[in-house]
Amino acid sequence: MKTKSKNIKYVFITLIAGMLFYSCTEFLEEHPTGSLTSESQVTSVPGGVALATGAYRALPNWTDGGNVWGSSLPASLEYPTGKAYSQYMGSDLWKYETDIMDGTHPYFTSIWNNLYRGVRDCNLAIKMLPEVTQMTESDMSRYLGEAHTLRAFYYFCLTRLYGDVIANTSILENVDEAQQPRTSLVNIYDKIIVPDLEFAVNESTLPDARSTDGRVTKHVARALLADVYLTMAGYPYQEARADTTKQWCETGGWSMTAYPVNTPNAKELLLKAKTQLDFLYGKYPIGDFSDLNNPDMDNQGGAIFQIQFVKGVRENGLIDKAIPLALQISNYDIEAGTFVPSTEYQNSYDPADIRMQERVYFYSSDTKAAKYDPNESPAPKFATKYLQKYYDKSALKGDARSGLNFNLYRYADILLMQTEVNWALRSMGESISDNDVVKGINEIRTRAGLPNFSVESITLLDIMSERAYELVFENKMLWDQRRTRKALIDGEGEFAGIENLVGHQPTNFNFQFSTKHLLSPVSGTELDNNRKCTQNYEWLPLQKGEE
Amino acid sequence: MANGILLILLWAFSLSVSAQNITVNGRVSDANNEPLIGVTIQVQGTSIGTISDADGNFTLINVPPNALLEVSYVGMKTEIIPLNGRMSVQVILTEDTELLEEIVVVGYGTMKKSDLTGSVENVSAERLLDRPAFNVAQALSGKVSGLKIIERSGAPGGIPMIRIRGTNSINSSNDPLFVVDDVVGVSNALSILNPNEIESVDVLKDASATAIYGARGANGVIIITTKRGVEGKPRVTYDGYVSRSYMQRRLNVLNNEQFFYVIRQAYMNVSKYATNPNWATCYDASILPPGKGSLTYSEMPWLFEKVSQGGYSIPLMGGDGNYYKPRFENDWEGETFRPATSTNHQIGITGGSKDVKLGTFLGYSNNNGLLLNSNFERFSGKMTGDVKLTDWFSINSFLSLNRSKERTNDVSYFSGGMARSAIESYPMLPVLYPNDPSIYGIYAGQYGTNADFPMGEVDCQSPIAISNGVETFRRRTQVNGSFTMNFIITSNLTFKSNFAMDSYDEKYYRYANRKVSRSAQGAANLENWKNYYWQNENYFNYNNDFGVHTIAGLLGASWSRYTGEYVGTWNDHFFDDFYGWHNIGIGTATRPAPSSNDNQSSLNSYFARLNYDYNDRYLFTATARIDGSSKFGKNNKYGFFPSASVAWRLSEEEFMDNFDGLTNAKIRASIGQTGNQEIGSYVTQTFIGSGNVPLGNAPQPGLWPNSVGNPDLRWEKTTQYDVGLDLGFVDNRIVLTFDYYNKLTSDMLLDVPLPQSTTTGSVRLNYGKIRNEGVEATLSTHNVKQKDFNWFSDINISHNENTIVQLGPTGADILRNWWVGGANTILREGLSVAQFFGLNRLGTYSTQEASLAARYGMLPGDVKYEDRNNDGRISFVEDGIPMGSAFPKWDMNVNNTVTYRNLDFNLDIRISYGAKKENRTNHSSEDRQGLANGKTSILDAWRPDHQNTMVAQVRPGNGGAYYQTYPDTRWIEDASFIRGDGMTIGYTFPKSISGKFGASNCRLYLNASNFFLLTEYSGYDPEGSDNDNMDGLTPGMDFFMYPRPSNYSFGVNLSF
Repeated sequence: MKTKSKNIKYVFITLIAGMLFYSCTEFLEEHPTGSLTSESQVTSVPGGVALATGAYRALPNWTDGGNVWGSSLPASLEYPTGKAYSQYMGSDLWKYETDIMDGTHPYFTSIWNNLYRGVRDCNLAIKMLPEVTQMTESDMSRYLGEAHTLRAFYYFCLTRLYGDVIANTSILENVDEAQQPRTSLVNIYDKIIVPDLEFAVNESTLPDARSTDGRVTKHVARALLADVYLTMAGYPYQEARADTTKQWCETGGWSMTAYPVNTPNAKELLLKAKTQLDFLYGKYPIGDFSDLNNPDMDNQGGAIFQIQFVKGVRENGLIDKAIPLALQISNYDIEAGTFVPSTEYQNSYDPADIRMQERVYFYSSDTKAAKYDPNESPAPKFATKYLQKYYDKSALKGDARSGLNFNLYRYADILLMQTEVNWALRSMGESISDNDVVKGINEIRTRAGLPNFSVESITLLDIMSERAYELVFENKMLWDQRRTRKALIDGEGEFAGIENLVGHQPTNFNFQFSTKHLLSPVSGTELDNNRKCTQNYEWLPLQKGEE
Repeated sequence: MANGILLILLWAFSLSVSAQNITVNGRVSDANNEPLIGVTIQVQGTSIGTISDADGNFTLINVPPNALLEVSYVGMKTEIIPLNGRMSVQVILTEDTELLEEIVVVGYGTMKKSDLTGSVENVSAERLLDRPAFNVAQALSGKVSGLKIIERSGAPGGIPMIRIRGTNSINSSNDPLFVVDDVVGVSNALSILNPNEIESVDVLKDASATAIYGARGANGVIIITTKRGVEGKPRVTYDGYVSRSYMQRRLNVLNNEQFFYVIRQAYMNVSKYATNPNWATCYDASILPPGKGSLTYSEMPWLFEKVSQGGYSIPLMGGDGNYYKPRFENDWEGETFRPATSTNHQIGITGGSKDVKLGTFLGYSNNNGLLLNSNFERFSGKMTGDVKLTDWFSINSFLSLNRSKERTNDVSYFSGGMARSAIESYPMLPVLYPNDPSIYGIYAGQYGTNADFPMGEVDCQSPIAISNGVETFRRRTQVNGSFTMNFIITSNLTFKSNFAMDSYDEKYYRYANRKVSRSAQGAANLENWKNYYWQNENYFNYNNDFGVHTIAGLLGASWSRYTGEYVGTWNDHFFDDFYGWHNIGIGTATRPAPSSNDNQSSLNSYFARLNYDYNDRYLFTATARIDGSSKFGKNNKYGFFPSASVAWRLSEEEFMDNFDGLTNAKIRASIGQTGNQEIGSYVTQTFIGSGNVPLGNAPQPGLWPNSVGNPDLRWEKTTQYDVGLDLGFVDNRIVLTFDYYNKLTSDMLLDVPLPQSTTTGSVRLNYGKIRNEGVEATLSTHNVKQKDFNWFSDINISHNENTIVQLGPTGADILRNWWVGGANTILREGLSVAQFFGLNRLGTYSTQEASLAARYGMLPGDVKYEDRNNDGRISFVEDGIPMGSAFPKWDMNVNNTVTYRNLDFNLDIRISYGAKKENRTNHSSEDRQGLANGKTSILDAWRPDHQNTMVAQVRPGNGGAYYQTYPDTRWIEDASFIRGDGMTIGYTFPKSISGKFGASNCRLYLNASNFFLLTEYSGYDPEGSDNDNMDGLTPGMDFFMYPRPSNYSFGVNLSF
């Protein structure tokens, strides 16, 4: 009896112990769920489309906030022009006004990071699309056209902001190579932006039509290419290309001021821009002013390339920044009053300009939102005028969610570029017809109820003023200032003049612009994590590590 | 083996003599002749035994007349009584004062404390519950040297920060491993485990103790042993208390008069500080709120009534030229935080035979917070069953259920939550407007909110409206169970196989009603996390003596797997508040978005331990563990974690015989390596992320690079040295323990920031080193030892110094952003983690310093910062300085227990020295004049006649005036404190009285906890952090923390 029990015991224990000490290697294998990995294959057509779609991801971040209550990234592109007002100190306009901004501010780190996010997304699509075996060649070419165009756009923004930037056109294989030095902006244009866009326009099978859903078409690529060539014909490309070995951005040795820049290269670029602008001319209606703040007119009328916003998916983050501070006119939880053209800017419009009429480009009164006042009685009187183009009524008075698209390129911009390009070419001695010079700007003037320009009298001041009037706070002026190195002087009823950007002192700034202000500061976090990256002239923070 | 044969022989012998057996009656008492209940009386070498009853009496039948009775009781010396034919015995048990014989729980076994070579500290249930505690964190706080517990706030149900011997790691968890009844890695042990169920807690601190848990041991191990069934007649215990909480401190907030004084002054200064000169003309200081032509006092009849000129101390002139005064004045802080009552009940039923022991434990707590509608309610139940099936096979099992509901402070409306709106709501607002539309118009009968005085941030809502209008709670359900088979192979060798599981389910519910959620018109969220963990652990234990040599060994293998799942959804636009989250599909949001994810990780381990003891003098322990984890890269799945330790019991040496006073002396030394794998699953992979991109008015799926993988990722390692000394004097009435340790964590699982230009921004690398070095000392004394009067003291002190030895590959500082507008903690080589960072505020510019101020574009009246590199610019990054560590230089806990006859008294004082705390509350409530209400420190602001101050001249936040606001030295305060943690007075009824109502024990007590606080810190509490988030590395960032209450309780302990 006892022996039997003992035997059972030992057999039992041995069996259990043997079973439990057994090891199997599969136990520690990982099988991630919910996300593809670098080892996954994307072969289906929808998968391929998703790769191209991913390249659009960074666009809606354009209207993101700037990490501080009431601040927004679009504001950071208007504040440095000297033509903005903010009712709330938190958006840090005063730091531009007193020149104490630096590259650690989220305004610079967020935009740097977001544009490079876009670049990486495009790089992945460009690398992986050719492996999508089920996609037809024609479709593949089209989606590659989208990715190349978007990459060009991201780099175009990067180089206009920061000058020399890091050239990244592949998927990083080894983190040891993550730190890269900046590449001359000349090479960024010549080796990335222009080839990407030329591919999209000339080689890809992108449809040569307007975009109806925010996806890139050949029209979009053409508009962008025109802007790229126009910008390259100006600054800093024309100055930097004279000597690509010189560290222009670090040393700030900029000195050229003339505009247009009269060089054979500039002329050639302007002619290339003209080709694209001529192609687009007449293909779009100029549209109604009210199209700008009407979500129902998204991707219609004069819209060429818009950042897409959709209620419930991704909403336009700028709407609540552009409305008056805390006057309870909207259902938004935030009413920031931080995205407002300065009074002096507003005063520089012609009083007869239709755009200055109440609720055309600006509004100066409103009713209270129902959540504060069920009777929606009049709100307190405004201290200034606010932008109507971001007044999305369905959001303000409704669900505080805006699906209003943000314009990157619209037809009015094309018309004004066309006038500028033709005016510049003619001033360099190219034979350009009178009508080609003024037709664009005069279509804008006519819509605004203002007298037309004649080819004899039109000046750079007229062209840049019209851009300022028509494209107010569409994030265009900073680019215009930098590529022309000219700034508009605030005036009454018109801009008082146009002068060199270097030496210009905006009305409310306590200093004059210097060559420092031809570029923005490189992101402080990039400098921390990339010891090969340097800071722009006169900006902080400096590269602290060893190069 | 020899013992086994002996046992069997004895058994056979007892059978053969049964015919002549007798019945024995007896009584067991202590030295004071008080009866002892539940004493085990066992006839040695037989299965005959019993338990003494409430009067200490027992009866044994069928006992051999010459039997030996073994009488044992916890805490008493076991007595062996030879019967010698007696039929009646009186047994007096004496206290076992040999503290060294205390048994401590170590990994996969127990040990006599005297045999320990490592640093392990034991806390008994008695000590754990010497003051009322709703959770284990509160119960354990201050009772173990080197163990730091920081409750984030006074909110009920919060998850505290816990550290054993400092912070080891930056990006992986620093929480110790919790082992509850052999279940390794139980989640939420600190916050939702019922402390009343605990029998004892053992804290494993040094590597020799923790290395047996290998990859999970680096942060220390806390082993919790809960109560189980015991042999004997069924015994029922009840413990309960009721507790009342009060606010301990108040913040000083501007009252009406002060508030209107401040904003009037502020608007007068607009023209001075508005950089945009045109805009100064838009504001008129005499007519408020701002904006010429906007609402003025005369247009706000719901808040202001007309008075004659001079009728109110501050001249408030309306747009109509008349003067006004506010109708209401409100104490929002007092309205929002109110005294609250909490209760706790605990029932234990235990009993059983020698072979079957059962226990049932039930607990209920209802902990109400100071904030309106904040509450933590918990039900816990546990059943244990220990069954001996044969003399070589027994089973231990338990199943426990914990279910809790935490109704929280809804923070979705403000960063800072309700505590912020309690401070920032304007003082002239009523909680509720009287229901008279003729005066109050649309506001009649409504909650007063800042929006009613439209000059501040738009949607700062009433804390009362939100407390009543938003239902937010988390329900957590945790089921633990374990089934352990024990095999006695020989008397020296046992085998144990354990199957256990920990199932944790958390669900988040939220509904904000249509009124509060406004534009969302009713907003509902439902989120659900399900975690499931199982383990199987198997090990052999071997013990044997060979003369003066004693050997113990352990060999085991273990498998475990953790899986997690999440599903969440939201909706809004409900046509009626009736549905809420109960029927979330009724909402009509444009695109409600469901989301889900899941993950899994596995561990496979092998472990061994060898103890060798020579003549009780020289003790040696070695452990080794191999851990394989699914979380690591293909090439580095397995890690090896060894340890070794020695101890020398000097007091056993003959040459020590002359030292009479010295009862015990032991020197310990250990070294070992442990690991940390507390990172997420799948981090070695390079992910291609996906999501929806809006295109053409619809979401379209997109793919993009999402992470940089690292297939070479391996274990984070912590190497720890420990040297310790244990001393006992005067029969161990004075016991001193001292430890020095030095820990170096290397190959840290660091999130190394990468350039965003070429990567997704970071990668997990094994990079960086952190050192923790410290000392711990514990002094336990039995100051007075008399029959009726005893006084015990316990003092423990710990000091830890933390240093980042090496950071990422570039060595760059890592600034961590917890502040709107900039980083405010820094990771820098040579400094400790949890280091605050900011500008050095020197004061304000005086009128004499106008030209100096101008150099920085500032004016007299502006804040003056130190320009450390003297470049004429104030740059946060370039001019910022480390401002001190959030961890104290040392902690000290003093406990005194006095018993006099039936009275007992206990006092816990906790002292902490040298920590800094960032009072971020002041950033919001001192720097934003007019945007919200603020603290009275604003009244100290710069004025032409008051220039020596730290506070800038007032100006309105929304007047177009600039205002420098940065993390700076102004917000850093000394968080040293002396706290009255607990004080208890108890009275135990004599048995003669309690016995009359059938109780074997009855004690009543009064307790005060957190009853005094001495500190220079100006916020609610020098310990704790934000309410809604506590940085894993930096405690002590106070952004409107939930105030910690003082509690006064009355309780009873009963047993039958």
